[in-house]
Amino acid sequence: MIVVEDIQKHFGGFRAVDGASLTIETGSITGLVGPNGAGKTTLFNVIAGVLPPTSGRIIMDGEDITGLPPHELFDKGLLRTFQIAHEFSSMTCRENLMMVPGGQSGESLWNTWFGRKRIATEEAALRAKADEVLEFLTIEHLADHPAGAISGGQKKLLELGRTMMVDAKVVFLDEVGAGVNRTLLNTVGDAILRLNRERGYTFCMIEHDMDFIGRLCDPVIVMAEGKVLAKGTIDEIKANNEVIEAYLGTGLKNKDAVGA
Amino acid sequence: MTKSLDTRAVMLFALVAVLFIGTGFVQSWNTTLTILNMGLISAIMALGVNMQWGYAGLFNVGIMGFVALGGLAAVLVSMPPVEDAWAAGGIQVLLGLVLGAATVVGAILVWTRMPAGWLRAVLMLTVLIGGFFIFRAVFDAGVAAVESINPASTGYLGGLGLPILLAWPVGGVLAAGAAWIIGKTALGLRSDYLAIATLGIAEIIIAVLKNEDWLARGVKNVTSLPRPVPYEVDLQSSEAFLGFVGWLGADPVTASSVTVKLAYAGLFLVVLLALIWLSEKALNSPWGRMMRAIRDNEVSASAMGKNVKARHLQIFILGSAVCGLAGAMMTTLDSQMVPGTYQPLRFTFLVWVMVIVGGSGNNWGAVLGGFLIWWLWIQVEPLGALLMQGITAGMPVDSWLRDHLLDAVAHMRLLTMGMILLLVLRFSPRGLIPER
Repeated sequence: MIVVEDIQKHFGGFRAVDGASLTIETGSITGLVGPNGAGKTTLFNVIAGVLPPTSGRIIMDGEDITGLPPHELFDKGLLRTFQIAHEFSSMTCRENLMMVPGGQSGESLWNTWFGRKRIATEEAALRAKADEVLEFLTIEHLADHPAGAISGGQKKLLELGRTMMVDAKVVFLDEVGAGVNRTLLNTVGDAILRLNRERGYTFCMIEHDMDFIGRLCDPVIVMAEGKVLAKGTIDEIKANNEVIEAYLGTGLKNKDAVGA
Repeated sequence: MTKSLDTRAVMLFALVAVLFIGTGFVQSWNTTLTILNMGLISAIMALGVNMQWGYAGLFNVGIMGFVALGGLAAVLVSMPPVEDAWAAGGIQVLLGLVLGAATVVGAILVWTRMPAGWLRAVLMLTVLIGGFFIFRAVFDAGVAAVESINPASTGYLGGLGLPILLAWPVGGVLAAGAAWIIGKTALGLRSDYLAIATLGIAEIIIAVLKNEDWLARGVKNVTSLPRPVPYEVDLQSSEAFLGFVGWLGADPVTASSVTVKLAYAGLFLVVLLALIWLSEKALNSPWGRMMRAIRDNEVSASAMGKNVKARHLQIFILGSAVCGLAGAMMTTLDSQMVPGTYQPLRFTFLVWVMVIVGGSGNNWGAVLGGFLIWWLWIQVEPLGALLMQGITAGMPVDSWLRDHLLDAVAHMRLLTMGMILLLVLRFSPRGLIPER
């Protein structure tokens, strides 16, 4: 369980996140929605240790993880993907996946010179696992392509694939579906559901596609102007007046159109 | 040997070999070996810079400083200690340095251990200022005593009088220490600050070497460093050597010179091959993959559990150590330490040209660049003169153009380096042997 307690993140005078508090239950797929500029990605960056919060705390399973660097959060099982794909462009897709697991004996220089046998065994296992993940994501034909040369949607899949290389506890997905076509989006959705059910991953995902959210997420949290506005099932959220106002403004109370 | 050494690379290495062998036939084998020895050292420097830039994307523009530290190591390890200087003020100089270090440590302790407030600030300043005056009083008196002992031939503390081969690893360690200090302060910041820090600290290192006479005689230079190989005169008076040369039918003087150079080349080649083996194994492994990932995208590598800062520090220290090792080897080859010869153009810019032309990210590329660029750096002068004489051959003797062109020979070196760099960046932007 991740508890976000009253997080503030200011950039100069601008309050990107202005006292957001929320809870992500273990085993849930929590959706995080809100109009552009609501502070969703900033909040992700604060949770993921990329930005230090101005104030507030983040608790993971009873432990204060506020301000820990990303690589320490990774070791605790907190992973994330990026809104704009952050692939390792000069490496092949397979290498992008194989680099992920921590504590590889081949990451020690000494072993690269005098522990070749152990590395070879580990590499074979990693390679098999990476190929399995690529197949799961239906991009096995790209295994040997440089990751910088594949399409934007495929990069998003690759990012999701990276989180599958280890046993994560919580995965934060920042618009994993953006730029991915319908067919592929269903694949991504299936992958997320399977990881959630079979491997017990907890997800928190920023998304704009309401159908996609409706299929996967419960509960859904709505942010606006740096604050948490509402939390509930997708139907409750769609019927919430405050949420509609946040998206469309007070001048446009066209409820029928939104509800449709 | 490995996947990064393909047909194209083999051809390029063959071409460089032809250049060196051709030099042997056209000029002399002595010249070839002189260029080759420095080429071997250049290749090692390029390997070190390639580790930092090619593997990890760290922009080090202070290579000169690390090379000079290696040179200092050669003096401090191999020269005999100056007994009189030690007796006059050696202990005092060391005591002064210890006091200086203690002052800094004391100030840090005050700052970290005391509660914040004006009392802490005042106390820290008192420690710093008081410590500085005590340090100068002890240190300066010691330095004056040391430097007054026979200043024309010594005037410094000398070294440890150990075999000079020991200086090679020591040079690496000295450079690694400097890299640790720079890396600790500058690597957490944006990458351009590392460039500024290395640029500045390299100049500081040279300034210290030029001015601290008690350390390595400053601009008075240290000459006649002991050698790891025999002297020519000893060879010329050795019965066995003369017999061997007589059997070959060669001139003893030339043969002794060539033998000495071959001995150096052998030593350097062993170091180069060992470093290539170590770096190829490291690069083609999960470690190398992790480094490439960090270079490609630091944010993402960090999110995937890699400690970017620690890895940057590791590779920065290793690359600098290799440059320090090469610096100690170079001073060994020269048998002298001349601080005035350390120029950024020669020891930072030129090594960068080697890495970029050779192919950053590829160890073989860096090695090729080391040999090729060093050969060009030396041979452009005679070739340039030849070219200009050819062009001006038909011109009247009093023509202004002829005079101008002949004067321009002196500048051919920089012009050619610039041209080579431009041509490679235009037609093979990832270097002659690209990463993959």
